[in-house]
Amino acid sequence: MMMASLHERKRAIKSSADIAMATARGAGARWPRAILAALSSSSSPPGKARRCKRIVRRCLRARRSSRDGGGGAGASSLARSTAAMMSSGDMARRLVRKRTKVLRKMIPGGELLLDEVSLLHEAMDYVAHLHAQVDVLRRISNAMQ
Amino acid sequence: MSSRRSRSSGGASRISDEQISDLVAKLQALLPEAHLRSNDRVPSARVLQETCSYIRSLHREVDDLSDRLSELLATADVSTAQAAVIRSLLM
Repeated sequence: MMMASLHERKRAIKSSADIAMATARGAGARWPRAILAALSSSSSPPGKARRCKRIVRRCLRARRSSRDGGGGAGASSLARSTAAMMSSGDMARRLVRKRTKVLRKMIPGGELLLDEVSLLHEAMDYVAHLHAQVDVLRRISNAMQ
Repeated sequence: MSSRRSRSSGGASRISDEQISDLVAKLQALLPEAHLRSNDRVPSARVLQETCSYIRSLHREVDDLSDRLSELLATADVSTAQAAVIRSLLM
């Protein structure tokens, strides 16, 4: 592995972090499935995803924690509606619709979410995940220095 | 600002203004500098916009940290048990 380029190493680290965090999140949000699906189709060593999952599951079992993920997607199948997010006026309506579309693209699996409530829950969950991911990577970096 | 009252005639399956407005406020609380805004409600469109740019900047930060970590692992002393463990987990 020392022969791998810096870029390859960086990609390996990032994908490992993604797999671990997606696996740790478990059910209750959509983005983990989207991340795992995207990564399993790319060219990463076949055993790695399995290894990461095994390690994470072992850690979770050891901790026996029943921590709820921040925000948790309350996935009920509600009808599509942006009405509640609109302030008065066409302009505001268009703006909310536009920004909702952008937000969907930023979240893995976001385009599969059918209603605003799910999207907002997912956004909160995903932001919490990114916070945690940054925290983990920082701690590992600091431990190495 | 839109009325907080539900526009629907009571069906439990309808999304209420209040429900959405509540979620937008919760999302707003996760954004940077949220404590500076205290209880001021920011318009939904703005919260959505800031959430997008915040996610973008977090993605960048994860990217930068991954870069830094891969450099650290490259230059770390091979004989360190710690470096070896981390390397085998991540690469």
